[in-house]
Amino acid sequence: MTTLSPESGLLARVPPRVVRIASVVVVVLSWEIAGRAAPRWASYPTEVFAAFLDNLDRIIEAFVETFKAVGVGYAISVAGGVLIGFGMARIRVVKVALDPYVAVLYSTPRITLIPLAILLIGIGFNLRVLMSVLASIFPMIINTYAAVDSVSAELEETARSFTASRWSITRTVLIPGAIPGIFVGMRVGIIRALVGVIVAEMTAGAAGVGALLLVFGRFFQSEKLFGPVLLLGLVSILMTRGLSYLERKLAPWQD
Amino acid sequence: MLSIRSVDKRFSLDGPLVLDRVNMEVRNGEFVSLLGPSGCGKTTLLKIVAGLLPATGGGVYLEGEESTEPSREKAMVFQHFNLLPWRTAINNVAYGLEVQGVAKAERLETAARFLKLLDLDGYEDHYPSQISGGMKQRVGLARALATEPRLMLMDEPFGALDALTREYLQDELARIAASQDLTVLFVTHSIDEAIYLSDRIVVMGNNPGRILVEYPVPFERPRVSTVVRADPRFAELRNQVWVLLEEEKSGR
Repeated sequence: MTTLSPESGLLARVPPRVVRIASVVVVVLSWEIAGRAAPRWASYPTEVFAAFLDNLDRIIEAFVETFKAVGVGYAISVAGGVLIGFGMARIRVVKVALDPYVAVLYSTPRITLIPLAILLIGIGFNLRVLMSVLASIFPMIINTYAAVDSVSAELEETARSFTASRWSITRTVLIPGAIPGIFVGMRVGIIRALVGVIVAEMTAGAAGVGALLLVFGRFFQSEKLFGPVLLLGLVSILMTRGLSYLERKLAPWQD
Repeated sequence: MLSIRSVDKRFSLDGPLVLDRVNMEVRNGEFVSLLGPSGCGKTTLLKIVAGLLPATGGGVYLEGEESTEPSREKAMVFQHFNLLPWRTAINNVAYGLEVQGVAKAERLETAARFLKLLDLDGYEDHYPSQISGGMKQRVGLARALATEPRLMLMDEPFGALDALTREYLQDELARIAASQDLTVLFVTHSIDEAIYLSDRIVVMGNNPGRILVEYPVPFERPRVSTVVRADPRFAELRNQVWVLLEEEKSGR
């Protein structure tokens, strides 16, 4: 708003919140009108909402299924990624030994691994957990590694000058110093973990939100498609907000 | 108290000689400044004394015992403060005590006492990012003092501060050194600062880093800054050191 010319001072003074609400209202209204005018081409908001309520049971069931896999996969990625990232940053052998795997797996489109993964572990819960780990562990490893690696050598030296042991340096310098970077990885990772599970569900089609969307899509039920998609977006926003909140609690020294 | 005997330093086997047979002593209760141009190895020497770097030859002795590692007898104050950004002032001051295994209640009590000694009461719960440079270094000083070391090692502690804050902290340090009866090895490249604070000035030269000469400072402590700086002997000593450093520079 502030980039508008001075003549539009009146418009610039409208509070951002009002503009945001107005923008949503305009888009939703236009969508409703356009949708009603061409019902075969697309659905419209009231229809979407009604379909959402009609299918609430199935949607909730699918979300629970999906987020069970996301939860397990993400937990594995966070724990594993932090440990591996730390190890690579602090122990040379670990870095040299793991570098090629991280580089290759990180740059391979992980979706291409699905057929192989299905051969190995089938299309059940484990497949979805595996895809979510593969999607989210690399941002965790790489961000943890970068965070630990960038903790100032001077601070380590300071700790050493006060007779800190290797373990107390890890506890008092490396871990707190790496927290902001670890949270960057966690915010990227949570979304990746979700995408990983959905992709697995859409390709292997067994259960969860991904499978549900596929079913709705195959039957051209576009009014049913929008609800779960919007809900996914909402949940993603809540998850990243939650992580930011957690970070402020755990790392209150940052501005 | 501290005895540096024939210390050599190279950073790699075939690297250049950074320190060349450095010999010096610091007596109990003495304040000694290491003065020299940048790159003369004075910080390297201080880090060897601290046990943060190994000497290539020779050794560092504390009360006759060889001292090659950091220990409770020594505490260091750094040019760039090196406070832990995630710790409040009081927890930074308590840091040395914490890693040395002092119980929580006791170390917080000690930390509070030293914060007060440095006029920082009221700032206990501030993070480093919330206080000025001068205050950060007072926290850095308090952190070192709180471990009650027998030897304080200070690496250009006021080098990153503006001139006014610097003079203010010099007075503060002079006051504390007297009241706590500190033994200090102080690295600086400011001639004025060295004269005002120390009992003795050890001047170092470049390429390789070595001791050129030692000057006793002819003023009794405690000193009053304005009185010392107005004394003709201050100007005379200042000039002597300056000429020496200039000759050293043009000699190569």
